[in-house]
Amino acid sequence: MTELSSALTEGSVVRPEDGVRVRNFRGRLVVALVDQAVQLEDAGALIWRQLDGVRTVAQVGDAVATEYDVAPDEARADTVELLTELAGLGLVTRVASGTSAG
Amino acid sequence: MTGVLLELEPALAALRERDLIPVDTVAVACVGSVARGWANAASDVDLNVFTSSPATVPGAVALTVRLRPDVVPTLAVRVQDRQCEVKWWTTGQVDQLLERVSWERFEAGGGSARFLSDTEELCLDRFVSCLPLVGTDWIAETRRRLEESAFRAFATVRSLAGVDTAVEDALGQLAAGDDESAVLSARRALGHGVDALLESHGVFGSAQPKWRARRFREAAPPELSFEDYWDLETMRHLDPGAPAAWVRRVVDLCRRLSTEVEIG
Repeated sequence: MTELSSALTEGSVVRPEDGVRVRNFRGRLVVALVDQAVQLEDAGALIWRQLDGVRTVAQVGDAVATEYDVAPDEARADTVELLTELAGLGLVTRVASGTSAG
Repeated sequence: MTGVLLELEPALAALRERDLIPVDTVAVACVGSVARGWANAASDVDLNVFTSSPATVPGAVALTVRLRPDVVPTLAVRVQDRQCEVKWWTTGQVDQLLERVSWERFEAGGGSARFLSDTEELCLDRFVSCLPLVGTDWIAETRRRLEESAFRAFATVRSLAGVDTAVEDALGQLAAGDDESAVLSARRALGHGVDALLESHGVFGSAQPKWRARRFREAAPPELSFEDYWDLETMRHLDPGAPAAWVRRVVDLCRRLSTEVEIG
């Protein structure tokens, strides 16, 4: 795990890494960069679609909470976990960190 | 549509008179802009003739294809005041093309950037919009086989590969301070991205970008409005003095389309 990926918080802003290729196979996203590839479905695919380089990780998590009717704290924590994993694979990069969204 | 078919009768009759409709002809279809209702006074009438065995056409230019036989005879014929371009395909060649776009091939990793040549792809994609003149049943059956094939997926993946390459070029050129090249790469990316979007909705013809706006209106994809597409296609908001913003706007759209365009 990179130093970047260990620093991700709910206040971080994350975007896809340049060069990442995405394919949507009947709703299942395949995200790849060089020799790294992951499949994202359901909540994972929703999280990926929210990564616009503007939304904070907390805001992305809140979108998951709304879509799947789960507790915001749980959704935010799961979002941090997934994005930390994706950052470790080099698929996302942090744009800026800020205060936690309300 | 009936009016168009009546207009095509003289062309078909002229071909028969010149022995250009072989005895083993299975089907004849009008394809291209006339079939799609996009033709103007200068448009050619494009016809595809499908035969059981290879046609011998004196004076024809042979287009090379990766099929058996490996050529498609093509001939320009003047009929009254219209230029007709006729291609003679065999039904066996069409069977081979459909096999090349089967789901078995796609799922075996066949979704590569170059799955068919432009000539081969046009043959298949024109079945979707053609006007049958002879052999209506065979054309309908071929359309059904095409719809059930992975042709749409192959075409979409091919265009998305073009998006990836062009976006990478644009971003690299921006980073190097080569803004003019980045603009040209972004235009390429936009074309491929819109083509992928339209292909995912079963509207084909990316080999002929001149009809992209027509195809867009036909598909009316929910993922992107015509107004937003046309804004970018016409580069309405490009500031020649600071083009990077426009390039990034196109890149952002292409990234969104890559995520939203559904394959298969």
